[in-house]
Amino acid sequence: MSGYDLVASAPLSGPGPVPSDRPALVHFPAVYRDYFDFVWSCTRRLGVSVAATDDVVQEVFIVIHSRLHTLERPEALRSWIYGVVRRVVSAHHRTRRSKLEGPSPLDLTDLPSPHQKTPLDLAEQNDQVKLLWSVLEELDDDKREVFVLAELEEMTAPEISEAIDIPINTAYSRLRAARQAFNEALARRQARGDVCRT
Amino acid sequence: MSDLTEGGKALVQAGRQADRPSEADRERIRALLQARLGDAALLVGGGSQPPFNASNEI
Repeated sequence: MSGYDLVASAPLSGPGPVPSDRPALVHFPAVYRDYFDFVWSCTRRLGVSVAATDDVVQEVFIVIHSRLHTLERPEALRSWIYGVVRRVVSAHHRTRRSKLEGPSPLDLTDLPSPHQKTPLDLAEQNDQVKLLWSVLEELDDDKREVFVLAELEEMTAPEISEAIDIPINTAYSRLRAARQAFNEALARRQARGDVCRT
Repeated sequence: MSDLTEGGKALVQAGRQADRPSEADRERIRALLQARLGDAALLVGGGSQPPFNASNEI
């Protein structure tokens, strides 16, 4: 197996150092294969509507394709990709806001439809997802972002630190504060009877 | 997510299951990218990279 074959076939998902004897090359087709789901879900979770998701995801991969050669640390690929998603989505929201005084980026009427579920599953899951996002709306933007990255995207604090360009200690402390704020917001809803205590 | 309550963990679990693309989504975006970038961009070895192996097509 040549070095090229090794790179082409190696899964790219997940963090971890690249061994020094392995070429530090990352190929676009492998990025698309391994990170499509990540790009898609991050795009949706950053508040892009269903109708706009295709365009935004496409634009993210266009940027990745044009900028992949500038990636300096392949072991930080997921964080680098998130940075691209974040910038493209931010530009999308700015454009959208400039065109119309639209609803909040977290528009609860525009939740994604999960796939391969029964109607009952969908109804129950949509209720829970709506509740999740309504609780998350009570967090400020910074806390909500680290919460989503840690809990939904399952990124580590070092990855979050790199992805949104904050010191690692800030990532840890912000995540701790975000979880506390989330618990408190959920508890308030439970106290009001908005949701059954589980 | 050890710092979350049980209710919070359940919501997070539901959230992880949502927002996932389907295979149709993946193929649709792939076709859009092919139209913009060309077929070679979506094959390993496209552009200035070494010759590709057809099995590496995404």
